[in-house]
Amino acid sequence: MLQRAKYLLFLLSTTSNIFPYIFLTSLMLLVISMGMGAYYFGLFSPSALEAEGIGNTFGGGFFDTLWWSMKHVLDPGALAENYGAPKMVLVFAMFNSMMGLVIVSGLIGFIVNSIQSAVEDARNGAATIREVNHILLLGWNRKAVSVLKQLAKLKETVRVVILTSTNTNVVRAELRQESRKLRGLKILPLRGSIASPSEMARIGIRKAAYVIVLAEGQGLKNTFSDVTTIKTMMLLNSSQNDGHTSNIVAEIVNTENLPIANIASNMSHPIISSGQVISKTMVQCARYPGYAQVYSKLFSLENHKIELKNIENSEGILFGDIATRITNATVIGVSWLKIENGRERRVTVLNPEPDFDLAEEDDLILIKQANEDLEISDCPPLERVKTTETPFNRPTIRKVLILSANPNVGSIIRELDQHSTEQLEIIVACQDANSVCESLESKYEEIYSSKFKIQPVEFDLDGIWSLEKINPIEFDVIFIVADESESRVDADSRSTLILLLLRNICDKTRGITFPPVVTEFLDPQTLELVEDSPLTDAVVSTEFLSHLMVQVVRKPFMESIYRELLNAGGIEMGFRPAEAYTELGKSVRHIDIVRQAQRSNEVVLGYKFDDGTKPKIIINPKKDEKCKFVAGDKLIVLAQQLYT
Amino acid sequence: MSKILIVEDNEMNRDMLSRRLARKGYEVEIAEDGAAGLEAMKSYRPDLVLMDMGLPVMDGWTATSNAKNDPEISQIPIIALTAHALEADKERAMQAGADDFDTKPVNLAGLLEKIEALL
Repeated sequence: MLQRAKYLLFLLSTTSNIFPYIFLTSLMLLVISMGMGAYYFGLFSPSALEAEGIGNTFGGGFFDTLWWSMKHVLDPGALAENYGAPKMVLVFAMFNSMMGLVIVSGLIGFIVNSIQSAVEDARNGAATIREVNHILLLGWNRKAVSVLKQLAKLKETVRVVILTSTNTNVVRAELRQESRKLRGLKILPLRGSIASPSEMARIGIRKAAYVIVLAEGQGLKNTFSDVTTIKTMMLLNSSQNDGHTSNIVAEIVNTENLPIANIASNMSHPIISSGQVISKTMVQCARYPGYAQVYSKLFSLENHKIELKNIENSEGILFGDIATRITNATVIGVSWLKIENGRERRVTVLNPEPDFDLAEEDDLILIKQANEDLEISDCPPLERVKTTETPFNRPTIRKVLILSANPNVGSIIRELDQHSTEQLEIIVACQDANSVCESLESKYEEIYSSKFKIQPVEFDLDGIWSLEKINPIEFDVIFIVADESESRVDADSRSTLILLLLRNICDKTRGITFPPVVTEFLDPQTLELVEDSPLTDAVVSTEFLSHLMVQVVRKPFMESIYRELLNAGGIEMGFRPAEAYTELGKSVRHIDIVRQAQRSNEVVLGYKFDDGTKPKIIINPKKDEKCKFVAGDKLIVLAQQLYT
Repeated sequence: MSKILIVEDNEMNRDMLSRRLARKGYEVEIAEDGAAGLEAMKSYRPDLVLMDMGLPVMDGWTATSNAKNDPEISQIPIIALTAHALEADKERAMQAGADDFDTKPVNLAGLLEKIEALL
């Protein structure tokens, strides 16, 4: 019987939120009723009425008894006012007061608990979102803060809702560290699973304007959950079927998961493979040292933006003509909508030939100053420009040194192979180098030996001698990748120390050209520490990826631009010697440089002035702007990648 | 209306060339690699093929050679396109059986002349 009662109590208390309140209220009513029994033991006798706490205002009947009993349950202090009443009345008063203490303290406890849990829920982000056109950031990793900084730069006024399984206290602490750079951004962190349908409904998925899905977790080694991202993409896809369309972009860490992620998203949203993007960027930096600086300037959302613009009456106008007539923007390509297999697809084409004839519905892809209207002039007269026949050495990489290892090393090698027509010689110097190289060889079995050879060299941070033995100056390029495998040394510290070792070797070999050094960093602040090192390009992967994701989610057409610029073949961004386009030391208008470049089917994005110290990058100069070039200055161009 | 098959793996190059040829009045079909190109030559029966050489799955040289050795499609003219600017690449394409050769980026006027000469 007792067991059954206990079980019933368990069932009621676990299945009903209001059961504790009902239970305590019932107990209170029971105690009040029992206390009213004092009526039969002389509650209103003449001696009892002499006590301060007993009164018969309503004739000493039911209401006076109820009042007396209830007063003792709710106010334990009332017991003292019964002094002088009959003993049995005092026993009832004492019983009511003691039970009252239990009941009232229980009620107070429940109320305090409810308030506390409501506050805790709000703190942990269990609230239901009622925003419209908000930005959703699903998942939390080291790129998240960088994404938020980008949104703050864009002066987004809508609320940014973060949903992550990471403790919201951790999220808040990270946000607090960067609060100055996040000023103006309204951020609401919530805790929950990004792969749960009910959580998606709670955060107002159907009403969000932009959704950015980040890989949940920290570190590069298998702790990211691509599976969660893939499930989230499936959920987002089904929510889109209801008619509401948000701009969505998602991050996949392991490139091998990209095809399945694309299937999950029904190929309708861009999926960014972070490992692949970083590998491709590092290889492009190796091909054109200084590239990282151009990239960060071009895609940083500062001062200028890339956008689509339809020009009225453009039917039949040639791309080369309109590109010169727009005086305050750089026209880099053309975009149009195409119906393919019953679906609408936005086609973007970079650097079309100058005689590409536009259709009325075509949009131009422009780099322009933010908040500036387009100025279109009549075709300005062309000035003859004297040039020097300058043989342009296209980048060739044959011998590569990779220091440290992470899961992106395979993608870097693969990418180098895509750009190369000759066999590559690669040395991977890291801890446990033999097993790293063995796994790379088996992964790329079909092209290994015919296209590249990998040689392992055991190398650790205390291994300066082994580094000297490798002789870094013999290589065409040196890569240092972010190695997060060890908890005792963080990836950026490791890369910084390796750069110091290289500087030491560089100092000893003064007079000999040191090869370009491309390094991956995770924290942009590390760059200040490595200024005096042989580093030529720093790829801050967290920053670069967050730039990319924010750009793509706001303007989905940007995904194909990034893809084209980073891929081997097709259109590439490159540097060209200025003297091949104009006479050095002589003032020249930008428009004349543009026309000159069009002869080689190139689009000029800007200039790289190199006075031997820190190179200065100029993007999107005005057409009538004049400048003077000296030896070493370069043009930044879009051109068809050629293999020579 | 003449039918042209473009065999090209780079999406932008494909989109650009197909759009330009379509605006010149050609009917254009696309294949993304050498093997798909050979299949399309049999099923689509184009009047001419523009074949990129650096293709995945089966490269353009092999696809051209296979096409020229297949009596069913050997008569279809093939213009080899490549971003490899070496003379050796041109010779290799012609040896594989290509009827003509052009380098990327294409000069449309020049390419149209070559197309019309082969049609």
